[in-house]
Amino acid sequence: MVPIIKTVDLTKKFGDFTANDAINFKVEEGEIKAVVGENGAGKTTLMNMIYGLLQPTSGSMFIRGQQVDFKTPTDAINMGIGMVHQHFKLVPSLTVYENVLLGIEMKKTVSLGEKTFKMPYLDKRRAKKEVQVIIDEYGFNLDASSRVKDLSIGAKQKVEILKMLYREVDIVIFDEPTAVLTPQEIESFFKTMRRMKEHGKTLILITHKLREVMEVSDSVVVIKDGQVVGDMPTEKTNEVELARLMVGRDVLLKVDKEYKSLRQKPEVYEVRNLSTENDEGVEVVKNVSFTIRKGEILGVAGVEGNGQSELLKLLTGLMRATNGNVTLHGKDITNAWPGQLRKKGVAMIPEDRYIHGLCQEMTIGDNTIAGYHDSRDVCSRGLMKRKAIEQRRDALIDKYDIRISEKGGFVSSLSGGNAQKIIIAREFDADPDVLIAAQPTRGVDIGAIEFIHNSLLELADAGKSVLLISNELSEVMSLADRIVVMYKGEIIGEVDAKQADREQIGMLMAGVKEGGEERETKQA
Amino acid sequence: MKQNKLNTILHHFLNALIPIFFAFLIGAIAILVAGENPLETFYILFQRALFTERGLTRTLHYASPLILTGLAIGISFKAGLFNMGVEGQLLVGGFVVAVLGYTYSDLPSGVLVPMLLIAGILSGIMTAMIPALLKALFNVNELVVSLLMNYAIIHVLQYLTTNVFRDPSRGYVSTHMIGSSAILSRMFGTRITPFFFIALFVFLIMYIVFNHSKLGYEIRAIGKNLEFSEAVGMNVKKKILTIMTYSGALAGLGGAGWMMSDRYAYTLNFSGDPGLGWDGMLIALLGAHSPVGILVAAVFYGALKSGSQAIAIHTSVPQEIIAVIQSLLILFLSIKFLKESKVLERLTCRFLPKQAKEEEV
Amino acid sequence: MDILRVLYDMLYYAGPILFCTLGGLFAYKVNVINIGLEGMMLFGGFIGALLIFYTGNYLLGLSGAVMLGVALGLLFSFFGITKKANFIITGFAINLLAVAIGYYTLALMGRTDINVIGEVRHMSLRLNIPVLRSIPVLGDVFSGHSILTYVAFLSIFIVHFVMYHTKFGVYVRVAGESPEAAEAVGINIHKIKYAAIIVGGFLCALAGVNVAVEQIAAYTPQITAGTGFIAIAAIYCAAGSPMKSSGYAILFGLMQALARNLAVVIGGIAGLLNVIPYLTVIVVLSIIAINRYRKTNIRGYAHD
Repeated sequence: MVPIIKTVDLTKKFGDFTANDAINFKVEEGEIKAVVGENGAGKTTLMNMIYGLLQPTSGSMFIRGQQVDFKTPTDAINMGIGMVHQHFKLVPSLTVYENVLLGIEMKKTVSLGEKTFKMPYLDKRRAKKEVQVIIDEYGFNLDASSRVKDLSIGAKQKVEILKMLYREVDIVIFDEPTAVLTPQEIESFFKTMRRMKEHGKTLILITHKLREVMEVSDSVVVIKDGQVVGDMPTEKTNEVELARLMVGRDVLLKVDKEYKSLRQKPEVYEVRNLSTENDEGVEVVKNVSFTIRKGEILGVAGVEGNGQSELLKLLTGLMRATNGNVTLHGKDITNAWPGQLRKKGVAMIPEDRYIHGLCQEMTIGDNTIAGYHDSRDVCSRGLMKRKAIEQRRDALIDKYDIRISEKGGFVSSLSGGNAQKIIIAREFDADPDVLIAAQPTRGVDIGAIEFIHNSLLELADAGKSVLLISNELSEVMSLADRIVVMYKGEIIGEVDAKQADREQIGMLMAGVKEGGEERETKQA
Repeated sequence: MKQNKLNTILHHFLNALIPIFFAFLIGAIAILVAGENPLETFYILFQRALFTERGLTRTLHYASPLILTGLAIGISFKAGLFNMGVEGQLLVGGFVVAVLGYTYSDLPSGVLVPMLLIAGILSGIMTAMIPALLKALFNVNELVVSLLMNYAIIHVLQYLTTNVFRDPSRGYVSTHMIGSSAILSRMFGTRITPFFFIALFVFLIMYIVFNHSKLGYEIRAIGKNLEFSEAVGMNVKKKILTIMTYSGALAGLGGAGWMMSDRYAYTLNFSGDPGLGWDGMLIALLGAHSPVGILVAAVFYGALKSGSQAIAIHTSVPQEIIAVIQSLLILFLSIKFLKESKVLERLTCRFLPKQAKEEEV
Repeated sequence: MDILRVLYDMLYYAGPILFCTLGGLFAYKVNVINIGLEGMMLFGGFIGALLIFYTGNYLLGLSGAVMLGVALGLLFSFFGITKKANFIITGFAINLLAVAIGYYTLALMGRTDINVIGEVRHMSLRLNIPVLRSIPVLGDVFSGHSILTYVAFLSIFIVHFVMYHTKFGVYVRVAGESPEAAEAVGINIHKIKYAAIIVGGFLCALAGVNVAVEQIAAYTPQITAGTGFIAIAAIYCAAGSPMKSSGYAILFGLMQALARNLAVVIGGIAGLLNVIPYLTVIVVLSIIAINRYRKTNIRGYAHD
C-alpha cells in the first residue's frame, strides 16, 4: 500500500542551524502515528513543513504517492491535511462558527427568478447552521454562536478540530494537544481521536509525553537533533526505550526528593484571602490563602488559565490585589512594587523568560545584574562599574554551568536552557528568603531540567521558601512538599505531595472536590 | 571580538549611508525639475558648507541647537518613549528667554546669561512634564499628547507674541530684542558663539549618561524590553519622568541658546521650517540614538542648512530643497537596510579569513 | 452666537476629520498606527489643488489626489510591512515630505499658495439637497455642504458595514487580533495589511481635497493643521470602533466650530481659542486613558 505521507531526505535549515536533517518519514492511511522528541528536536519543524507553514530547504514530500510542494497551509488543506496547533490559532473575539469558517466565509446569495447572485457580504445565518450540524454530528457539546474567548480550553480545542472537519481533511496533525488539558479532558480527547480514526481519518500526534504515546498510537517515530532515530510499531517498544532514544542516554524519569518534616519550621511567607479582578471585572483570583514554611516547596498545580498567571503577577508586584494581604516574616508586603519585593528578599523566576525574565538584546552581563543594578558592587555615584559586572558575570557562568559561545554576547544567542540558567543565577545569587518560580522548565532540554530541579531542591534545603507554579503536574509532584490546586481562581484543594496520586490531583484540576461534588462549570 | 566590533561600526555606517544616497538621488530629481544640474548643486552645497572657513563655522553654529534637540529626541526614543514635543519645548524655551532677556536687559552679562539658560531649561522641562506626568501617572499615550501640544503651543505663543509682548516698532510680528548683555556673541570673528561650546559640553555629559551611567543602563533596558524592566523592579514611572526631564531640558536649552546666539527675538518663524525639533528627529535617527552618531549627524545637517543658503545664492534651486532631502532621509532611515550583520560578516570574513575560522570552532 | 451656525460648522469641520479617522481605522485594526494620515491628507489637497489650478477640472484633481493617496498607502505599506520599517518614523517622514514638497513647489511656482477660488467658483461643489433642506429648523444645518462632506458622513456607515459584514472586514479584524489564526488558514496577512493601509491613503486624499479645494479653495502646507493626529486620537479614544471613532471625530469637529464661532463673539483673545480643539483632544484622550487605568489591576506601561 502507498503510504499516505512520505518524505524523502527532507531537510530544513535556519541559517547555519539544521532543524531537520534528511528526514525519511512515513505514515500509513488510517493509523495514529506518534512523533516524539525533546523540545527543539525538530518535530514541530517537520510538521510545519508537511502543513505548508515552512518550506523545506531540500528533499521531497509525497502525499498518497504524489509529489507535493506546499507554499502555504492552503495548499496542504487542499490536499486534505489539517493541523491543530499547540497554541490554538483562534480569534477570541469571533464566534465559533466564524472561527470555523475563517478563510472560507460564505457569501450571501440572492435568487432573482432563475438566477442566483453572490452578494459581496456575508451570510451569517447559513454559516451558523452548517457549523452546528457538524458539531452535533460529532457530539461536541458546543453552541456555534458563542464567542471563543468565553470557552474553556477543552472546548477551544474542539473548535480547532471542527475547523479541520469542516474542511473535510483526512489527515490531522495534533501538535502537543494534551499540554493544556486536565487528565480527564485528555481522556475525552483520546476518545475523540479514536472516533476520528473510525471515520477513516489519519492522525499524527506530536508529543513528548511517552505515556500518551503508549496509550493511543499505532506506531511511533522518535526524532533527536533533527534526525529520525527510531521508527517502530508502538506495541514493540516501551517508555524506557523511547526515553533513551529521545535523549540519547539513560534518563532518570524521577527526581530524588527527601521529604523532611517541616511542621516545626517557622512560617515565612503567608498569603491571606488574596483576590483580584481582570479588566473585564471578572474575579480571576479568589480568596487565595496559603503559607510557606522555611525550607518548604509549595507547589501550585492546575490547568493553564485558572488564575495561576494572575496569582504570579500579584505575588511579584505586577498586579494589584483588590482584597487580602501578603506577609513576609510577619511584615505586610501586599501590593509592594517589584523593586521593593526584591529589596525585601523575594526573588522570581517568571513564566515567560523572554518577556519578564530577560532582555534578549542586552548582554549576558547586563542581564545578570538587572534588578540588582543599584547595589554598591556594580554601581557607584550613578555610574556603572563595568569591570565588576564582567567579573560577576564570569563567576556566575562558572558557578551555574552556563554554556555560551561568547561571554560578551547577547542573551538572544543562548539556548532556552542556558537562558533560563541566567535567570536562576541572577535570582539565586541575590540570596532571597522566598523564591517565586513559575514554569521553571518550560521549553528547556532534559539536561537543563535536571539542573534546574536540583537547584530548586538545594535552595529549599538551604532553608529558603519556594513557591512553584507549574503546568507540568509531574514536576510539581516530584519537587513540592505540599501541593495546592487552582481551579477558576480559587484554591480548590490541598494535598500532601508525599502521598499524592495523579488521579486525585487530576480530579481537583477538573474542579471536582473530594466526595465527588462537582463545581458548576460554564462550558463542557 | 575585534571582528564583531568592526562589523557593528561598518554596519552602522552603511545603514546611515545608504539612506543618504537614496535621499540625494530622489532630491536630484527635484533639482532636475527646477532645471538645474544636481551634481553641481550638491557640489556647491557641500563645498561651501564644509570647505570654506565661513561655511564651516556657520555649519558648526547651525549644528549647535541640533546637537541638543537630537540628544533630546535620542534619549526619549532610546527608552521607547516618543517625545514628539521637542519642537514645542524648544519654542517655549526660546520664547521665555526672549521675554526675560528683554525685561532684565539691565543685568550684567555674567548674571543674565546663566539665568536665561536656566530659564530656558526649566521652561523646556515644564512643558515636557505635561505629557510626562500624564504618561507616568495614567499611561496616557505620550506620542499623541506631546504632538498635539506642539500645535497648541504654537497658537499660544503666536497669540502672546502678537498681542502681549509685541515690539510695535517692527513691521512684522516679533517680540522685543533681547538686551545686549543677554547675547552670546560671535567668537574669533566667525559665526561660532559660546553656544557651540555649551552644546559640546552637554554632549560630553550625555555621552557619559548614555554609556556609563545607571540611568543609561535603565534607559536601554526599558527601551529594549519594557516588561522585563518592570518585572525586575525598575521604577519605570520615575524613569519616565527622569527621561522626559532630560529631554525637555535639552530642548529648552536648545531654544534658549538659539535665541541668544542667533535670533535675539521671538518671531513666528523662530525655529524655521520644519523646525529645529523636527530636525532633531532626523538627527537622532541618523545617529542611531547614540551620542557620537547624533553629534556627527548634527554637523552633517548643519552643513545642509549652511549649504542651502549657498544654493539659494548660486543656483536657481529654491533652498526648500533641503527640507525635501531631509524628509526623504527620514523616510529611508525608517528602514534598516542591513538588518543583520550577516552580509557584512561574510564580507569581513573574506578579508579576515583566518580569524573568522578560529572563532567559529 | 448662532447655534445653527455652530452646528453647520461642526459638520463642515468634521468632514476631513472623519475621512482621516475612518481611513486610519483600518490600519489601526491591523495593528499599524498610521501617523502619516496627516501627510497623506496634505498630499491629497496639494495634488488636487495643483491639478485644478492648471486644468480647471475638478474630477481630474479629485482622481489625481486619490491616485496619489493610494500610491502613498502603497509606499507606507511597502516600507512598514514588507521592509519592516519603524512605521511611526515612516509616517512622520510622509508628513514632513508632504510639507517639504509643498513649500518646494510653491517656491518653484513663486507663489505663497495655490489658489483655486477662480476655478472652483463656477463649479457647483456645494449641494442643496431638497430632502435635507426641508427638515424643519435644522434644514440649514444639513444642507449646503460640499459633496465630499456628505461622502464623509456616508462613509461612516459604509466603513461599519465593510468592517462587520464583509469578508475583507473580518480579515482586517483577524489580521490584527490574531495573525497566527489567519495565517494558519491560509489568509495572506500582508495583503490584508496592504489593503487596510491603502484604503486609509484613499480616504485621507479625499480629506485633503475636501479642505484644500472645496472648503478653503487654496492650498498651503498648513491647511491640515494636525487633522491627521486629531483623527488618530479619535481612533485611540474609541479603540477602533467605526461608529464610536466617528462620534469622537464629530465631537472634535464641534470644538473647531466652537473655537471659530466664539472668536467672532469675543474678539480680543480670539487667537487663543485656536487651542480649544487640541486641548479637547488631549483632555478626552486623558480621561479615557485614566478610566482605563483606574479599571485595570495590572500594573505597568506595557499593558494598554
